[in-house]
Amino acid sequence: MTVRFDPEGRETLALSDLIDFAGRGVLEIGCGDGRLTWRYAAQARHVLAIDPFAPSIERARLALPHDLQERVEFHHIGFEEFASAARDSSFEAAIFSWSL
Amino acid sequence: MVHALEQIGRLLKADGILIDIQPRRETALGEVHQAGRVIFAEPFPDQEDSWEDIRHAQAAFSEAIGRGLLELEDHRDFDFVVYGDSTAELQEALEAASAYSTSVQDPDERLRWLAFAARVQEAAVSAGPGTQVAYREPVRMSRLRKPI
Repeated sequence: MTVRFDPEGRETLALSDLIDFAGRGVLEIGCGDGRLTWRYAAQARHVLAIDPFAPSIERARLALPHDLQERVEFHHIGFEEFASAARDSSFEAAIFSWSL
Repeated sequence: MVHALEQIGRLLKADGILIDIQPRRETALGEVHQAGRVIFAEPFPDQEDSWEDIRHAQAAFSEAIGRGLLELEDHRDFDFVVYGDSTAELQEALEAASAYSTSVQDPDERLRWLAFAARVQEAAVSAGPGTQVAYREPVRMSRLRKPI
């Protein structure tokens, strides 16, 4: 058996209860290896997912499904650096994911 | 942290939504499962440090809400559970996913972590075949909105 994250789907259920991603441009902060990204990206208009941990971003890029390649971008960058260069009012939604 | 929330507020369009996913200040467990039942559970060692981080994060959110940067609308509480065949496999996967850092530097803390992992693994082995080890963390997912 391989390691299984949240096979009961509790996180996905909570997410779908709280937000409808349809038509939204999403910034995901602390995306890691894209584990959560895959669970909602197909519904969003566009996803920009960032993480300061390079190996995680590399795994996310390698695992990016073909049908999401036009919709999802992964960037190896910390949030502060990203935010300093990003324009105001760029996203309809943001996910601050396990990023204390 | 408040500065990060200010930046998120700036990047969101008016009426935009922030989903925040954070651990709750409750006990995370190492567990052993067999035939769909939890047959062993023990609190992770040294959780107080992460609880302090959570307390700071909660204070930052309270400040951001108090200043009108964001409005808290709703939340869901759930347990996030990760399963593996062994504590070593679980630890490696959690570290790789950046979901939980076990790169403990303090030698005493490191010893407590290793002893904890050994107890969970021993419980799994002694229970016989068909066991899984699991990491259970109480989580809160919140929806906040940038005011128009």
